[in-house]
Amino acid sequence: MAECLTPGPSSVTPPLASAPAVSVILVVRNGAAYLAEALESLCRQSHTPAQVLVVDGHSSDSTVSVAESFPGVTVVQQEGMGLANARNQGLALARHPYVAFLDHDDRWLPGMLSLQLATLEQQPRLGYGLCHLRFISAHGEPIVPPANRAGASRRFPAVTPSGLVARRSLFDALGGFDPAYAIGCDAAWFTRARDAGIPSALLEDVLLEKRLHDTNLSNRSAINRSEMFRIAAASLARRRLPQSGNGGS
Amino acid sequence: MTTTQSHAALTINADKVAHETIEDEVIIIHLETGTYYNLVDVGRDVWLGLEVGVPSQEIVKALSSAYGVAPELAGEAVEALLASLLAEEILVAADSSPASIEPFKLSDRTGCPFTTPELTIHTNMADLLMLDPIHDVDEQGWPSASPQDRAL
Repeated sequence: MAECLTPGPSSVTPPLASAPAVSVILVVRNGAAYLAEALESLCRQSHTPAQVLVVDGHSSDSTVSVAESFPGVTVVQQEGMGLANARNQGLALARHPYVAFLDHDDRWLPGMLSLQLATLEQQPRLGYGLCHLRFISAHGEPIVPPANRAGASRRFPAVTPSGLVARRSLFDALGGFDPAYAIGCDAAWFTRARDAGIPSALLEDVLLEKRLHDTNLSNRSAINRSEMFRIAAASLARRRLPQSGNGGS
Repeated sequence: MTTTQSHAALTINADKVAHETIEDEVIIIHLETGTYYNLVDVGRDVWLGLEVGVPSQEIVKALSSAYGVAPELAGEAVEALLASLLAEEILVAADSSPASIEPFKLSDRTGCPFTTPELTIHTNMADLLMLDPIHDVDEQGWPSASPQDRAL
């Protein structure tokens, strides 16, 4: 394992009686600008991952060389296309009982792995754990997101792969990420897990910094909205809800 | 029908909601809360009228004709649904009435039961919808950051 990926001191995480092995999957395409920050945040974890997989989506920038500069990181080339395919390829290569995802432009805070793993170890009924996140700018500075993005709070439930630590077996039972969704494959997976009634934990701790980019809003909104509607429709179909008025779900 | 007539100039609150119809089911997402709603059957038919901006009286007439039910029954159903849509901020009062009103007709619903339309509320994706994935997709099917973010 990488020299940097060794246990370090932590003031926030209780020691685990045992050290459950976790595979960390980092999928990236042309992400050299932020990849080192993501991997460095892995290095600062008090719990050392047993496996770090970088699935590269045929980047044309220096993503691969950045990843390979971190000893202990295994870089694999994506065999298919798209985000879901890359995540699934990482899952197929993950060989440890726990799986975590870290997107290349996000950063974990120390204690992300140890706190999540401790929770899952202590509560075997849980299928996965989530933490809270705070947003950072493209330059890595903490920012308050726009008002229409989860209100005015500074911390949010991290219902996103970078906030997730799950049992590997959960993906065997529930399936991986649906490549039918270009952007929404993550939301689709979480919705499917909820519809299936998979028990989960949401830690109060802010353990993830998620980067907000300035993007082309028209393209993003069109794709995102279309997929979110499809995800909602699929969820409704799965749950076969009776049309019973204002029964919240 | 007095109250329904007071709703004659209602419009979809495009600032706060987005909507799509998928396989005869209307799904409406409230962009500020992440709550979403669905409408089926008669509710979907009412929405068809709201989408084209016809007054509620025209929707009532169309329902009454298509389903073969009394205008009073259709009127009460529409009235209740509009009240729910207003309460959820899905509809708002229109700034002005449409310049011209196209005839609004529904295809024949003979054989379909006239069920009271209800707005069903769902919150199971609220946090996901509020986090709002933040990426475009490039030609390889990958989310991408903005060009300046990609620059090395």
